Amino acid sequence: MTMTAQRLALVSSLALLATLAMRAQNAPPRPPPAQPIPYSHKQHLALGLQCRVCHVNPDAGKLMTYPPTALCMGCHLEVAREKPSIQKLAALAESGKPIPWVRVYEVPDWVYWKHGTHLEAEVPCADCHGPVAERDVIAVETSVVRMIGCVTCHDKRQVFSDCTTACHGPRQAVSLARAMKRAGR
Amino acid sequence: MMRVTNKPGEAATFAAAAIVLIGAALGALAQSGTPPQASPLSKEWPTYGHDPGGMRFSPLTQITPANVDKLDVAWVYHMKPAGAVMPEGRGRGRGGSGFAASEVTPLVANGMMYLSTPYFRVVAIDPATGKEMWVFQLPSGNPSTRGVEYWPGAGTIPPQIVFGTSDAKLYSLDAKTGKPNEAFGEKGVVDLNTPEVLRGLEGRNGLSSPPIVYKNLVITGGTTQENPPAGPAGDVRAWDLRTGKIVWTFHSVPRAGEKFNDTWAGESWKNRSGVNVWGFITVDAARGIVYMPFGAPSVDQYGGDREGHNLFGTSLVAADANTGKYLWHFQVVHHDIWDADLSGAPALIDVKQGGKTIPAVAVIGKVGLLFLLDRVTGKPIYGVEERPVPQSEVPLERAAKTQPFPLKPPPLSRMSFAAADIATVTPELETACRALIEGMQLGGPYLPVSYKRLRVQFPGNHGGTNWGGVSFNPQLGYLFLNTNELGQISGLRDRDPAAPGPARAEGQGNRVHPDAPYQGVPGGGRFSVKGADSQQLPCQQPPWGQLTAINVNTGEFAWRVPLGVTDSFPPEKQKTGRPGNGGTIATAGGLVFVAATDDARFRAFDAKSGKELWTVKLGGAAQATPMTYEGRDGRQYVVITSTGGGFFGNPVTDDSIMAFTLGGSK
Repeated sequence: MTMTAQRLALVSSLALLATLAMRAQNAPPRPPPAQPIPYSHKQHLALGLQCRVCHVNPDAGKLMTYPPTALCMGCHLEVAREKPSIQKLAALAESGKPIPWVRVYEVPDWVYWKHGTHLEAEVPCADCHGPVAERDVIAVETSVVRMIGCVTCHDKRQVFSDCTTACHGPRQAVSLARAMKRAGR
Repeated sequence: MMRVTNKPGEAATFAAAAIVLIGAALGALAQSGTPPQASPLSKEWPTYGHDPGGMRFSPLTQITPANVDKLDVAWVYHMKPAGAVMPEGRGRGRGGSGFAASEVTPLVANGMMYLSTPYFRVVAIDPATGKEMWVFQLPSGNPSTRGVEYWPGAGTIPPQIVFGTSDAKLYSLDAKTGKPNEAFGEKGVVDLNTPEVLRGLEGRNGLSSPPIVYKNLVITGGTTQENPPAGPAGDVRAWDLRTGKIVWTFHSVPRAGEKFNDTWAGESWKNRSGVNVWGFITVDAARGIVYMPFGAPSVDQYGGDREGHNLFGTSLVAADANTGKYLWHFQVVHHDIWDADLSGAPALIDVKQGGKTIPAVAVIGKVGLLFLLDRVTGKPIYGVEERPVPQSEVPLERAAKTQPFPLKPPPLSRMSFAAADIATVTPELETACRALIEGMQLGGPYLPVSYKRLRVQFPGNHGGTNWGGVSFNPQLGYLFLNTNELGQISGLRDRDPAAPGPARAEGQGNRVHPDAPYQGVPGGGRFSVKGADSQQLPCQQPPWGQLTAINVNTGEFAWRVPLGVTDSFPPEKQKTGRPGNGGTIATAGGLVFVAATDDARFRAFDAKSGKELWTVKLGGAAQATPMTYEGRDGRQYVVITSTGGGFFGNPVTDDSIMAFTLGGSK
């Protein structure tokens, strides 16, 4: 990299840092991510839908899943079929492709965590995701994906929360067997 | 940096007791020539460090190098309450036994043993039998994992057990009954999450270690957070034990207008979290000085948003224990970007030099450098020099140009790594480790986090020496400490501007600034590979854990031995030493007791020679510091907590408080 390019990179990095630093000081929450299809939780839950109808947790798995496009089409074959967004939905259904939803809440990759455990404990969805039934657009509005969110809830409920065995551990880089394989042995 | 909101009162009864104890201490330590701690010669174990200065030295002599091999189990107390149902199979398949991990060191005071348990309870048990005497069930949170503190009481207030909790409460319980002291705070509870500390931000200031009592004050640190950088203050505070009212606050990060605020660029000090004492505070009771070992600022491995030395980050600070007024400080790591917290208790010891006795404090943190300072002035006894250290590749990072190194003793832990240091214990390990280091930046000491590649850092962010700290035998002048040899792999790269949410850690834990223009380089983690069992295999040559005795009167090592075995290796290769958490204790009987290692052993060593004299296998790795006391039956007991767990991948397999005595149970 040339000196000029380095300076430019430094200046842009500083500008980005300044912007981000402002956000860090308890600035407004991050904006909701753009979704491929506008979907209102408020509107659908008002019809009586339950979270678990659309979001299934496969066998105590880590993540909840999104509904198959066919499930949406169960209603939208008829309902609002003229809307461009529903037409986009129908096209996806016809192609057999899933809707490329953008995940809103994401637990850091170094945390041992899974939805299944929390579903078994019957933690209400709203405890972690906020008043979804009142929201047209979903954004991160709780601290559930931060350590303070985890430990506050665990303390309140007096749930076993040993840091290193339940939440995050030594994080070895690689197993001996995997390392040997990588080394071609 | 200090705000006085009240003044501590006097406790006539405590003072009288202290005079008696000081008299006894002076008799026994006549040659020391310096005012001793309040009760250094107790045959019990009345505070975490045995005395408020944290020497962890017992005057008991019943168990000696000659008979220590006769130690056997006297009793076992199971912390898990009968009928308690703990989640099983949680935590990535580890900890699936339904037990919870503990790092507790019990106290024994006035004939009763006290401890916190990871089952949301504080309990009192009979120290001669292990029989449960009372139980206090917390309504929320867990008591501090490392233990509780004892206060002898004052006036009409009987002796109290004082402890903090994971959810930032401070309790005071009647030591005899376990009932909350109604006069303390709100029905026996003080909320540590005060607005002054939280500053309107999300977070909390719980306690993982016991606080320390000085006169009628209880002095607390706090856990705060490592990430994000803005959050609760890591201030140290003193509370009146009679009322629960706050008496003084020491600002761990100097505010605007306070001295040393200029060690933070711009307003980077503002709302800064971290710089907290999550380990152990000690007190020179005779001089009225409190010693506060502060940790790193948050985020603790990135300082691009906090240029400067960042006082009092990773510093020992001495203050007036009565008022919190600053006296002096010594910064062990400038602009800490290694998570090199000071967390072990700063042990208050005597150093003898040319016929003079210097009241000293032994300071050691995760970097594994031991600084012996005059504890009145803060001046180094053996000299310290600032040495140039590598500068950061990360464009926004401004690593300190120099770091302090003591002239004596030598580093206690490895501080650098070269390819020639690769582990050759077994061919398989060597092959795996050579593959692992390909493309990584090597070097040190104080190798800053690398840019667009991974680096190997020694010691890793666990240390070195962690909260286990040191013990001291004043008769020998030897300081004992167990150390880890465990590196850490990490690196930063430019952040993907299209990726939503906070910067991704990519396997580097919570060490990446969520809002900085950098994210982790994939592949970070411990500098080790997983072995055949739960013990990881470090990638540098052994030893991987050591026990060292330092003669504080010369600054030299008196002896040094590997501590711990790697069970999956052939017998002739097992004595590698092992990493661990928890520390040593020393006794006048000439012994050093230590567990800590991830091989789940409890050991006794000859204090003079370092010879391993006794070893027992436990039900779980003991990530705790032992203690010893004389029971009412006149027998000397040694106690260790055996649960497993901790930061080294040990499964949680036990819930035992184990008491050993000569000949075992009768």
